[in-house]
Amino acid sequence: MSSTERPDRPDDHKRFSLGEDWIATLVGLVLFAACMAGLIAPELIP
Amino acid sequence: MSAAERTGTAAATATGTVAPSPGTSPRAAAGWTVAGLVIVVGLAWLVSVLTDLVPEITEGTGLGQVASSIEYPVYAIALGFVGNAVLSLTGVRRRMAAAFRTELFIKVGLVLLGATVNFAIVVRAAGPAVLQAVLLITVVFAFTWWFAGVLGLDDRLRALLASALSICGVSAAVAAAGAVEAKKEQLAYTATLVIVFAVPSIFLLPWLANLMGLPPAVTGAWIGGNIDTTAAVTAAGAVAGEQPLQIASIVKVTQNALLGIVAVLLTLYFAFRVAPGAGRAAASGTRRIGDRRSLAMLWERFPKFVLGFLLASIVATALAESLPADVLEPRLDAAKELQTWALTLAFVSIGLEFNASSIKESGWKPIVVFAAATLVNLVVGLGLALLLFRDFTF
Repeated sequence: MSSTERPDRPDDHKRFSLGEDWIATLVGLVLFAACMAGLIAPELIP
Repeated sequence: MSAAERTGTAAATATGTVAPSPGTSPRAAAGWTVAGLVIVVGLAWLVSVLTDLVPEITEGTGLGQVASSIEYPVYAIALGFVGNAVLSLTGVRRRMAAAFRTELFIKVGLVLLGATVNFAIVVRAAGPAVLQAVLLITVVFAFTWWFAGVLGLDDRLRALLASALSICGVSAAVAAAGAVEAKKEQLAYTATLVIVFAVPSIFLLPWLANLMGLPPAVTGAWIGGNIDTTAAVTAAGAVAGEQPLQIASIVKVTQNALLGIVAVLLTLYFAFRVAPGAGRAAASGTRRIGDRRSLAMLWERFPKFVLGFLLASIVATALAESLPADVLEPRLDAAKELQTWALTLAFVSIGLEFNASSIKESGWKPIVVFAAATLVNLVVGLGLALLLFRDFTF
């Protein structure tokens, strides 16, 4: 496994990790907004 | 697989960063990820089927009472483990690892959970939750740091173990690893220990709380303050019930929010005490608490999903005041259904990404430190939960 594929410092992971943090927050809020706006009905969810 | 690859994989899994397997083209890697996602969603669907079907089938039989008390996280984690075994045997689990996104799913689920937690509960629980978090983080961090020092562990590994045990598991270990410039292997050991200890706690703590007859708020505070990873806290809270889940989430979210402060303190400590003149941290020799770089780091390390959780709770509480109940209820039901789905995906992923192989390489000392600190966390956490949450009402 080359060093370009795996960061040498664990901190190098943080960018992706923090980006994922924002993505999860935005996805959660979008789903919440869609539910509160009545766009997603409980019957639509399996 | 070489030892370096194994530890790299563990660290990557711990942080949510999964590199493609050697020799795999981007298209093939994407294909494996999609296949992994299909498996995660398929198992989550099976969980929802089992949760409904098993109590129906066993009703009136000797197993009926047990079956009706089994919550969906139990099925999700069990099916995740079964999937893990099958995919490992067929040799494809590692290729699909990019789809097993416990952290992503759990954070989406926690934002949606905010919709079902009245903001008044958040406000009332915030005081004791902050107090519990500060005291527990201080005690557990100090004990782990001291005991790991007694056993002669490296300062960087001490920092990782202490952060993981006292704050929020893998995320804290990642933040601490960045702050103290730990080795990749040390992060991998710590991440593995966190998961190995967290999985049994998901079932053990709700069972013990029930055995001791703890009230729902104390149960939630104990679970939230003890189990290291946010995903496992949520799973244990869900096993214990809806009210324990709410308090467990608030307590854990509070601990998550304190992560940035600990990361800044660790950076300063390592810059000035442990490794002066070495590394990036020391390069910022003039850094002080409150200066711009420290504040930037605080924001950088702050878990953003906490903001989503609070916003969802505030908006849902405000809507409860302005919308008629018959309009709002179905919308909240939809948010709750999606929340259950997101959490189920996370719990299935816990089972799927579980990998205890690197623990063999860590030696016995970190395991002893982890076990002892977990015990301290359990006892002190129970005392604080009883002290701070015994009079809490919903």
